[in-house]
Amino acid sequence: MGKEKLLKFVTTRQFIRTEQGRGLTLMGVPFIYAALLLAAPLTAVFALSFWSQDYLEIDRTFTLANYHEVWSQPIYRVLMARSLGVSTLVTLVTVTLAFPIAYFISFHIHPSKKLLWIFLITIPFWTSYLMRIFLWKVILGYNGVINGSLTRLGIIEEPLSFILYNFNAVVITLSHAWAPFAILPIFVSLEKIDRSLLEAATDLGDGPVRRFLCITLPLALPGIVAACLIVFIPTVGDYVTPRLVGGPDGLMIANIIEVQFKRANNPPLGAALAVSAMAIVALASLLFVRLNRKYLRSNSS
Amino acid sequence: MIELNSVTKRFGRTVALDSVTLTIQRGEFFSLLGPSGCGKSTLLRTISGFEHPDEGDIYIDGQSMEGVEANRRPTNLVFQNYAIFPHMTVGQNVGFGLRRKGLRKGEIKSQVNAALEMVSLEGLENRHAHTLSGGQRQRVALARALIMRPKVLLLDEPLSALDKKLREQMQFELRHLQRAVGITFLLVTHDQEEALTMSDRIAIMFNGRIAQLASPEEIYARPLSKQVAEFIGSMSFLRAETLSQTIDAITIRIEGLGTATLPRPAQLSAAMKKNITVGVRPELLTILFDPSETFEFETPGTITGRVYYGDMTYYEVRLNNSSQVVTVSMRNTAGRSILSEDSAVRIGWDSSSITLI
Repeated sequence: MGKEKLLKFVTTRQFIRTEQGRGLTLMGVPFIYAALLLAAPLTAVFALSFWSQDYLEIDRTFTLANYHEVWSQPIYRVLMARSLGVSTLVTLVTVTLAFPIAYFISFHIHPSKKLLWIFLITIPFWTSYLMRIFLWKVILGYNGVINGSLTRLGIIEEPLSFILYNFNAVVITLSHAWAPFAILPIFVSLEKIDRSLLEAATDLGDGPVRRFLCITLPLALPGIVAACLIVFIPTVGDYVTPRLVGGPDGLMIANIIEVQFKRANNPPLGAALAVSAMAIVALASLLFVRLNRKYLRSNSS
Repeated sequence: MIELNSVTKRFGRTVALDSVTLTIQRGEFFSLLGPSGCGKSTLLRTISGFEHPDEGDIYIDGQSMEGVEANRRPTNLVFQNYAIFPHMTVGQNVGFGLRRKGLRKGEIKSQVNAALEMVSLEGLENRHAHTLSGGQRQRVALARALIMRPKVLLLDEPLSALDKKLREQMQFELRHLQRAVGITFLLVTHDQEEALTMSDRIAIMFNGRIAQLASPEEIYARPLSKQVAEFIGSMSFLRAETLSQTIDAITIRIEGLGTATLPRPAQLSAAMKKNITVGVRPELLTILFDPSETFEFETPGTITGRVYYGDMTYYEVRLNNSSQVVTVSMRNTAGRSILSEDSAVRIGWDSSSITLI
């Protein structure tokens, strides 16, 4: 009996020492944490989407009615399309603006000062996101900084109305908010480029533009793809920004999900919307990665 | 032909190149040899156009390179880390420079194949760069530069990343390749063996200046300074005293070794000082195993250390009646025993063993 116990003890200790055992020990705690706080709510939402609201109670009989409504009502389609549109545009604007900044820091800043620059880029995060949205309202508003200055200068007579409480305002605000998340992965991928590769391209006759297109850009592509995904995925589901600066025609899918869960008192429909939105985002991201890989392969053969 | 006319390059306060003047002939295999930080890589980068000289001019085939950017110069560089484009195949790497020349696809393909054949990598054009071994990368880098038919091929420590066996093999191949293509090669290295085995001429650099420029044999046999002598091969330095000198001969007494009369070296015009240093190469001294061997001079000594290399043994011998130590190398021929430390030996030498520095 005692011998058996000892044997068991020894094997446990040996197991912990193996590569697999070590991995499991390290992963265990975060895994439980993730399961409780991520997987469990997701499962709950997923289950909820197949139930229905019966006035005050939830009817737990399986139904696809919620999904039927989500996919047939034009309002949801419009909102989903707009969310994807906003995200795509935000991603495009953010990554296009982030690339030159990342490039500048990586190629034109002395190595000893790079960390400082990266640190400076995070400064906007020192204030709460809500505060930054309100500041954008101050800047973009009817009597705001931009309109005020332009009217005073006599460039415009009437304040511009297309910059606040609509689609454009959402794109502007989100692009600013997500810029650092796009700068960092692009910066890292640019940093990893061996500078002698650029010299080799020059040595073989390439001018700056050609060298950028043939060497720098392809080698920075992993960072650009990462930046796109990092910006695109969360912005689809953003709901504070459209609510505060979006106005009526800047509303996005997350806003209607909130409405279903709260004012409309129809959590199952909200859940079905959430699951559908998640599926669409996942699909769009996979498609993007797939296309990118295909491009890389066709480029190298 | 490459001509450098008092080229000076400073980085802040440090002078990387100090008024370097140098002519490299067409078709020559020329080496820049020196310790790290001596300016040899800067010189290479100045010729290729990645650095611009603060003073002085560079001419390639009579054309001034001033204001000519690196991508327009008739030079190509083999980088120390090879700088193979990781996102391309071997064929794309080798053909990279040809795309600009407006050649047809088929023409590029046949030239790439020819270049790969030249470095014995035929059939690998579709392999991805990241699947290559170190030796293969080096060959790709060579092919990629040679396909451009540069007026001078610049090689920046091209063999330093390879293991010893491969390095020795590549030394031969580089030399053969250079003969075959007839392109001027300018090699930068800190490895004296590399420079000696491959070059037509060597320039030894210290602190941004050329200390000596000559053929390998000349540099090895007649180093101009102690610094050069120390850098190339091994040499024992001994204190000596000038006894008398005429227009073509000098008589010296070497402490612990004896008195000898040497011909006056050509480069020495002024009178010799009284206290001097002489150098002696290990292979020019002999430990007398056989009493019947005769030398001009014989000096007793004691072995204080030895290093065994298989084909050779290097002995450290302290000269009797002196604190001076010389290194003697002996070939381990059949039947010759390896002497142990503290053995008393006789060293045979003659006046031609001694180098005046």
